[in-house]
Amino acid sequence: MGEPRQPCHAPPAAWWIPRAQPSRPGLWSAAVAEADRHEAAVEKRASPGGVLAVLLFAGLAVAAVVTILYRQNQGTSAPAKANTVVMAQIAFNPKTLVAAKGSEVTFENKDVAPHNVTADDPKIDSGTIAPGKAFRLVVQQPFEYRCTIHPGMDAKVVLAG
Amino acid sequence: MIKFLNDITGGHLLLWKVVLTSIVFALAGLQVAMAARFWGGPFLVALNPGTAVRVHRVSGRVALTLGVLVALTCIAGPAGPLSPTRVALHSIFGILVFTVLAVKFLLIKVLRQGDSVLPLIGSLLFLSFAAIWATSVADYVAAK
Repeated sequence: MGEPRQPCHAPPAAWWIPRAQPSRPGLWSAAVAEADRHEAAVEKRASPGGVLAVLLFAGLAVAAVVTILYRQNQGTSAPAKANTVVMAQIAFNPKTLVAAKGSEVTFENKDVAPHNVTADDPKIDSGTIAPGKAFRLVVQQPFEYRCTIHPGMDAKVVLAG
Repeated sequence: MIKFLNDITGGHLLLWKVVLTSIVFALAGLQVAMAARFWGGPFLVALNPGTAVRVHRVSGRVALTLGVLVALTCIAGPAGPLSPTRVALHSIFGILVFTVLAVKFLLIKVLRQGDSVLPLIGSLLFLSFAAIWATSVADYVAAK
């Protein structure tokens, strides 16, 4: 008689099979070996979540590159009109506007992002200027202003004469 | 979209981005500390490796979720200019972070290999997050 064999109804390859019995002969060890092969195959398989993550991150990188390249050719260097400040590419253009006292100055947002015109004088506060919108102001005194949404975006208005 | 985000943040979208970017940077530091614990590097934190792995994964998911949100607001909003230099560097490192993340997840979740380069990838990610933080939040604080 050979060694006693495990019953034929040994559990199929699955997580509940004890792994610490590699030396058992017969069907039992075959089932364990099959479970190990199955587990190894699962570990080698690409995870769907991982594929999604790769697509998401690669997509973001590509989207950023495409956006930058596209916007390099959009909304830039609009010719400055008299008494007009254009907001584009996260900058005021011109940086220094010369205007006559009592004249109206227009701030046009030609950017893709919202901006505002904010000075130390609380009376000069445009609120958020959405892309495509404008803000008008009658100039009574010179002032420096900035966009509080975007640090480093600042400029000034000086009086002519 | 940006106008909507500005409205729901009471006109303080940039401040929210500053806060979230700082959290992501802090979590990136935690990621490195935890990874060092289970990669045999300098032990900065006295945790058992199993706990370090769990903290690494959970904090990584939080950091990436927040990072993706901030990146989307950047792409939908001000992305585009390449001047001044600070803005160009910010864009370059932002693109680099997501490229490296795509490579990392490709290696560990799809190809199931390349474990030996993970410390290098993790270090590169941390340095990139640091550069992103320095070229945005640090500038914001300095401007204040």
